[in-house]
Amino acid sequence: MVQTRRALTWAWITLVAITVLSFTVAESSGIAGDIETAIVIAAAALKGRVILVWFMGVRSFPLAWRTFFDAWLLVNATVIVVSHLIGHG
Amino acid sequence: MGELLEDPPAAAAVDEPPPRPARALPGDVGFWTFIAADASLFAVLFFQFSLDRSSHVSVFNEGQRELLVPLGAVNTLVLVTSSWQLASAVRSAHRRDMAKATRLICGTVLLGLVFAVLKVFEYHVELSSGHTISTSSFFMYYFIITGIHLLHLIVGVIALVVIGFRVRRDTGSPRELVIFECGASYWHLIDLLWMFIFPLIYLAR
Repeated sequence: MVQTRRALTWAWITLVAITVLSFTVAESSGIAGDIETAIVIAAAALKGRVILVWFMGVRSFPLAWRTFFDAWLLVNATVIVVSHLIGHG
Repeated sequence: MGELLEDPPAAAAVDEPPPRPARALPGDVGFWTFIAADASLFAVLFFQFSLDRSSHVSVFNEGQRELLVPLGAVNTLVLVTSSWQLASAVRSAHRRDMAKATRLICGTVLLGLVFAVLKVFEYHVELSSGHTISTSSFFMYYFIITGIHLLHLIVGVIALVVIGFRVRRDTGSPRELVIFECGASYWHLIDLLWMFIFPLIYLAR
């Protein structure tokens, strides 16, 4: 699926904004490690979703492929956050 | 979507693939199988990293403190900008504006090279500080995961250079568009993988 120029530009702005935000959160010292991890990994999953939808056009994929990539994002994010929580525990 | 359905030039009629169904993958299905396999390989690496980290938290946190985090953040911005350029190039190619598509591909290649140069500089700094693949399990994962990713990026840059020349020739063949879409999808995968590599290795504590 080919996106409009406006949609692509907004996707890029969103990606830049989330990157700056998650970097700022990670570099600020007042946030607990597990909360920080949850935020930066959620931001990563959100950025991944933006790339999949707006740059790769996942919404126009057959169901099986959409499910694969959605599951890929979800599993990665969950595994990373849970393992960090276990490590902190 | 309207532009997608425009009639191709008559010279390309023999080369024309069947019309794309409403729900279809851009590029080639076989290539998407490769992309899915590659993404799965990285998922296994992320899982293994996370598993080892949960048993050696202090080693991983100490290693992470030695990394050049701002450089990783800059590289994230470089990659998302390159993906934006390439998605815009695909759009231009669909609109048959091959000159603009070629310019955007060149921009993507340049940004890819910026990423690679910054990454090599980062490796140089780490190695100069005495951090090698055998320093700790953290640095083993750091060099392996970012190294495999860098290798993907170099392959992507080479592929885009070749695709750029083909797009510039502008044969009008729909097959060229399929090849271009495969290359673009591969580049977006590289971007997608980095979206997890950066927070996993550099940020999450």
